Amino acid sequence: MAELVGPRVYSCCHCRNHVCLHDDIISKAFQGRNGRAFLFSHAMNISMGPKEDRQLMTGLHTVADIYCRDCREVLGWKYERAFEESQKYKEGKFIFEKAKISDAIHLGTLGRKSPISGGSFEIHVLQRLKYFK
Amino acid sequence: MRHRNSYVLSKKTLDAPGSGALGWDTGFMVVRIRYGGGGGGGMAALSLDLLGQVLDRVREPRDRKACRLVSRAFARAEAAHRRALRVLRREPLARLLRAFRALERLDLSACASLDDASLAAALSGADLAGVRRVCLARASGVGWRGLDALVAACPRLEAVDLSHCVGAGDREAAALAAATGLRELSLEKCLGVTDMGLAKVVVGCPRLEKLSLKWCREISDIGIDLLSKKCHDLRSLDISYLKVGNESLRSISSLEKLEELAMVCCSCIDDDGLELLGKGSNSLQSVDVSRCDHVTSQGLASLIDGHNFLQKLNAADSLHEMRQSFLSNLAKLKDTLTVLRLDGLEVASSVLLAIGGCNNLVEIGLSKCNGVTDEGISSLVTQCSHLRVIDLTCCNLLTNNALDSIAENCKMVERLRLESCSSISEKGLEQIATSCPNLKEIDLTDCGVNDAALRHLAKCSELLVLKLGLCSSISDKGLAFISSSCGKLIELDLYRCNSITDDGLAALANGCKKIKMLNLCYCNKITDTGLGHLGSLEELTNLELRCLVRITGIGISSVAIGCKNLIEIDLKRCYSVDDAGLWALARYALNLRQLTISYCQVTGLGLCHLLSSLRCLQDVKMVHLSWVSIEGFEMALRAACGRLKKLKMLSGLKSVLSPELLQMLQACGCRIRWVNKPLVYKD
Repeated sequence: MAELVGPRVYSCCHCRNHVCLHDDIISKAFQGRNGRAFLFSHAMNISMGPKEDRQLMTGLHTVADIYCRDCREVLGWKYERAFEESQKYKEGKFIFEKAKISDAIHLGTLGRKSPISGGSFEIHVLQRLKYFK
Repeated sequence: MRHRNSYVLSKKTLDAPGSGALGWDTGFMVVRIRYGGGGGGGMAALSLDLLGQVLDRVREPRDRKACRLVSRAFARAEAAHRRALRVLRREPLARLLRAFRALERLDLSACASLDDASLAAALSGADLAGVRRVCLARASGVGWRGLDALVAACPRLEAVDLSHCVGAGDREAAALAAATGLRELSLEKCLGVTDMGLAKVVVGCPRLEKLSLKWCREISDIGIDLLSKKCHDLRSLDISYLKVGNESLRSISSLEKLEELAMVCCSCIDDDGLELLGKGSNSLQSVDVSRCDHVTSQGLASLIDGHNFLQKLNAADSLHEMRQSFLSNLAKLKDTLTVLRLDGLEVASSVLLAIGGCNNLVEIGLSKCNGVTDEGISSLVTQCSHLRVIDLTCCNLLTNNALDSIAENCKMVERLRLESCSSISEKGLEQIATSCPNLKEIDLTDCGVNDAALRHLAKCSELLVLKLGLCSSISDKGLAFISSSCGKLIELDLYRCNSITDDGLAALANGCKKIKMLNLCYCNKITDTGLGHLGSLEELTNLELRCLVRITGIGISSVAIGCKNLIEIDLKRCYSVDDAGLWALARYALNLRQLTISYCQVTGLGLCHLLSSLRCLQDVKMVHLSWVSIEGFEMALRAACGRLKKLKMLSGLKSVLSPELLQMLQACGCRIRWVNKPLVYKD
C-alpha cells in the first residue's frame, strides 16, 4: 500500500528546519520555560549550549540548552544528568517547548505509480490535448 | 387548518405510535390540528404530500426517526420526501435506495466495507434520477467499477467527494469524467491520480466549479495548465501539498472566475509565482499560502497589489519576517479583509497596529507568534470590533489586560484560543464571560485556570466547545458550574485534569446532555461509577479514557449500553480493563469504528470475539497486548480481515504473524503501523 508521507516531523517555529519526530515522543506532560513541553528520545539539526546545573520542578538536573542549528532559536534543553534515581530515565533525552516547534508533515516519496501515467508518450498526448476543443 | 380527526403537534418527541407527537425546529410554523375521537381514518385529513412537507421541516435526525415510527402513513410520507441519506452498513443499501425515491444527497462515507460489487448491485435496482451529491470519502473499497455504475445511475450528478480513497487513480478519475454535469469534485488524497486522470476529468467535465487536488502529488504543471485552459467556470481550486511550481500559477492566473485558491505547503512556489498571480485576471477572494517555505511578505505584497478585494488571507507558518511593503499594501484591503492568519511569525506591536487598519476583520490568527503583547492586542482590537475568531495560542506574554481589551471591544467574539497563555486568570475570564455572550468555543489548555474561572464561564450559555487540558486545579466544583448552565456543550476536554472525580461526571451527565466528544485522559480518580453516569449521555460519539487505571469492564458496559452512538473509544493503559470490557463493547457498541486497547489486560478470546462482532470497526490500536497469544492475534485478525483499515501493533509481531495473514490484510486495504514502544512507562 502506498505510503504518502513519511513520519510526522516537527520543525523549528522560526525557520522550519526539521528538528524532531512525532514517533520519538516519550511524554507530553512536561513544563518548559513558558508553557507546555514534550520529551523526545531523539533530536536532529540542533546545536547544544554549555552544560549547567539547574533546579527544575522535578529536582536538580544537569541540562544543556538546545538551539536550532540554522537560526539559533532556543528550542528547549537536553537532560545530561539527573541526580534523583526516579528521574534517571530522562538522561540523554530532549525537551522541546511546544511554542517553539510547529507541526509539520514530512513529504516522503510516493511508493505507487498508476499504470496509466509517467511515460513521455503520455506527456506528449497531454500536450496535444491542450489543443483539443 | 382545523379538521375533525387530526393530530396535535407538540414539543415532545415521541409519545406513543398513533398519537402524532413530533419535535421540531424553533422556526417552524405550527399547523395546529386537534385529534378528535374516532376512527383511524384521521390520516385522510392530511394528504401524503402535505404531511411530507410538514416532516421536511423537522431538522433533528433523531426527531425524524421518531416521526417514521409514528404510523405507516408517516413512514411513507417521510420516505417519499427524504432528501438526504447517510448509510452506515452495506447490507441494507439496496433496500434503502429503493425505499427513498426523492434522494438528492447520498452519503456513503460511513458505509462499512462498501465495495464495487455491492455498490453496483444496490444502484441497479434504484431510481436515482434526483441524486445530485454523493460522498464516498474514505470508501477505499470502491473503485472504477463502482464509480462507473454510480455515474450511470445518477444522470444529474453534480458533486462527488472521493477524498481519502488513497487507492484511487486515473482509472477512477476516468470513470468520474463521464459525469458531464459535474460541478464539484474532491480528489483529495487520491494518491494515484496523475496528469492523465486529471486531463480526462477536465475534458469530460468542463463545467467544474470546485476542485480539490490536495495531496495528489503526481500532478504537475502540465495538468494544471490543461485544467486552466478547459475549466473556465472554476471558482475554487485546492492544489495544496502538490509539487507544482510558478508555471502553474501562471496558468491559474487566467481563470477569471477563480475566487478561492489554496496552496498549502507548495514548496516549489515562491514570490515570482505570487507576482504572476497578482497580475492575473482572477476575482480572488481567498488565498491560502500557509506552510509555503519560499513565500515571503514581498510576494504577498505583490499579490495584494493585483487583488484589492481579497477577503481571506492565510499565511500561517510561512513568513519569516514582515516587510513594510506588505503592511502598506494591507491598507488597500482595509474594507474587504475579513480573515488573516499569520501564525508562527515574529510580530511587533506596530504590525498589530497596522493590521488593525482592516476594520472589518472577523478572524485573526497569531498562534505561536513571538512578541505579541497586551499593547499590541489592544491596538488591534480597538480598531477591529467585529472580530469573532481570535487565535492567541502560545502568546505567553499576554495577561488579563489583553482579555480586558478584547472584552471591551469585541463583544461578538465566538472563538477564543488561549492555549498556554499562562499569565491569564479568572479576572480576565470574568470580563470575557460578562461582555461576550456569543462565546461558543474557548481553549484554555495549559492556562492554569481554576474553578472560579469556570464559575464565570458558566455565564456563556452558548458555549459549545470547552478545552481545559492540563488545568489540574479544576475540580468537580468547576464542572458543576459549567453543567448548570452550559447545556449546549458539545465538546469537553479535561486532559490531565486529575482532580476530577465521579461526582464531576455526575454533574456533567445531568447538565450537558448534548456532549459528543469527551476527553478524560489521565483523570485517574475516575472509577466505574463515573462511567455509569456517562451512560446517560446519548449523543456521545468520541470518548478518551487513557490511563484510567480504576475502570473495569463494568464501567465500559455502562458506557457501551447507554451511549449508542459511540464511534471512538480510547482505553490505552486502562490496566484494569480485561475481556469483560471487550465483551461489553462487542455486544453493545455496534457503531464503534475506532478502538485503542493498547496495554489492556485482554486475552485472545476477548479480542477475537470483539473483532468478529463489530461490523463497523475499522481502526484498532493494540500495542503490547501481553496476554494475547500469537494464535489469538491470528484468529482475531482473520475474523475481521475484510473490514480493518488501520492497525497499530508492536513491531515484534511482524516476524511472528503468518505472512499470508499480513498479505491478506494488505490486499483488503488495511494499513499496519509497526511500533517499538517500551512496556514500562514513566509518567
